[in-house]
Amino acid sequence: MNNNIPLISLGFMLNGQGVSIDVEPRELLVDVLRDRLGLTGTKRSCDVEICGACTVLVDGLPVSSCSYLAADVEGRDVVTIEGLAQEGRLDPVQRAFVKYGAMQCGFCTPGMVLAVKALLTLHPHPSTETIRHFLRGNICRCTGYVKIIEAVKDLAEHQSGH
Amino acid sequence: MNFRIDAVLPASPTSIWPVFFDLGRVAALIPGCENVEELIPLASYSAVMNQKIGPFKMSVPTQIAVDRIEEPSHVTLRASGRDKFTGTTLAVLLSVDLEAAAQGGTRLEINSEIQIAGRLASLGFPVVKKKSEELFAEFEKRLRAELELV
Amino acid sequence: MLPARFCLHRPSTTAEALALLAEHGDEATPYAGGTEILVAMKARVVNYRHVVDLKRVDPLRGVIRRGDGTIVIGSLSTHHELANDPLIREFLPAYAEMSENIANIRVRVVGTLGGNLCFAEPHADPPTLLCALDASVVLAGISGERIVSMADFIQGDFATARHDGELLVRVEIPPLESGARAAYRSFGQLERPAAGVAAVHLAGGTWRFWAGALVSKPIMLAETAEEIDQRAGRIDAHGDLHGSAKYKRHLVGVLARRAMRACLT
Repeated sequence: MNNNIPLISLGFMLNGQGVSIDVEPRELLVDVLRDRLGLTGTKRSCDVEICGACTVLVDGLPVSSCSYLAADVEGRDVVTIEGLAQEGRLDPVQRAFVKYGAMQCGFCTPGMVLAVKALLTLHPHPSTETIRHFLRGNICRCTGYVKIIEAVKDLAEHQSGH
Repeated sequence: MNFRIDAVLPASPTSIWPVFFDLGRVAALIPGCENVEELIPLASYSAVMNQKIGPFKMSVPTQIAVDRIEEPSHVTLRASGRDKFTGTTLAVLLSVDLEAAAQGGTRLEINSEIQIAGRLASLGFPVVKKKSEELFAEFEKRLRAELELV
Repeated sequence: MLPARFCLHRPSTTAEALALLAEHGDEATPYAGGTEILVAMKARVVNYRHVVDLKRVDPLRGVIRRGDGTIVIGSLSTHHELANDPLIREFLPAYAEMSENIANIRVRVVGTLGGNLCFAEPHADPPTLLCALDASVVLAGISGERIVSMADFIQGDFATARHDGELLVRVEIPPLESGARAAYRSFGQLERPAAGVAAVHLAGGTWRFWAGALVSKPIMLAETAEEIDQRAGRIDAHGDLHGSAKYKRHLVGVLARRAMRACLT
């Protein structure tokens, strides 16, 4: 096959701003975010959508950007870790992670924080069991998850709804 | 992976030998083995191994070399090839021994060592192993049918 | 790795999608969430030059309940949608619970029931419960639709009754008789089940147990609670990365009892 594959004119919302970019059908969301748009907060780790390090939110729900076609965000709302802090003010999830020391190397953290963000939107006051169940697809090699769960429980108790 | 066929057949080794002597014919009994071509008689052959497990397809251009041949008792073949797209490599060693048995019959022993490597094999080795077992069982069935015609 | 180059087609009707599949034959694949097929394409163990994205084909979405109580699930429904669908939660709570526990949240958000069934990875949850619930799948082709029972749909590892030019459009689940209960329990270490058991307890007191993830397709395990242990001990199971055959048989016994208890409480 020759290389005359039509590019796709992609338009989507990224961290609250409109983005227009031409992509090959086979381009993956993680590469477009990191390499073409310079947002390197999203990490590629296992590359087979198991570890969660590449988690971004599409229309508020977590997806594995390593195994998601960029073309599939057409017309949708994408949030990366860079999109959480507003005008330099950390998001409540980020503040809770800092307060509890819920990270060590930080590599899983962007994905973990975004997963927590989605969790609290779907379940504003989750039980510990719900938290563990929701986050089971985000793997952390450093922390043993204890501080992460504590941070989320704090948020669950104190947030008034998203 | 190792496979083996042991059989006692009523026909004599000299009657059975021609089946194995026609190496092209033997190769054609292997399920998925297509386009068998004789390059140098009794020395080298080429074929294509085509296999499919659901959406996973593999097409391996294969070179077959005769390692050793002793009429009417022994032949050893080596086959190797590589599927370009999946990077799957195939290496097969097949040895056939015919021995005279009681009442003019033949003891047939076939030993085969099959190695499949590459992305497809490492991602799904249990499935590949199962498929290989099915293929070898089918080969044995077809071979026995051929030998019955002798 | 990136997948090899392909053309992305985005039909908006089933007819368009079928025409594309007919045009490109085995160089085309249907595509929904991509949780299986895209990973395989990235690993370059499958090769498609044409990808037919079904996500804009509206008739493939949604859950409805017919007058006779049959639940009809559009094949493009995601596991997350089904876990939270009001009709599924009310009339098939066992299905909602199973759907909520598939893999991880990201796979549930993106992965579809149709994709799960068509890829036919043996270590899966939905087929087992769907067999126990006597479900059927509806396949659409250029010449029309046909229905295949769930028990007959999966035919081998990664192999189904779907022909290349067909699409799985709906899954139909007949109503459970009044007073009947169903439950599904599975266990696995690698994000996929090593074994899963679905139990259906009918109002008259009879049982149906199906076991899945053990071999390429779900198997009817037992029709009485008393038979479970004996049948579990002899059931067909493949040893692999998810566990030895012996381990899986043990799991089947445990899971069957848990599913049974869930039906009775």
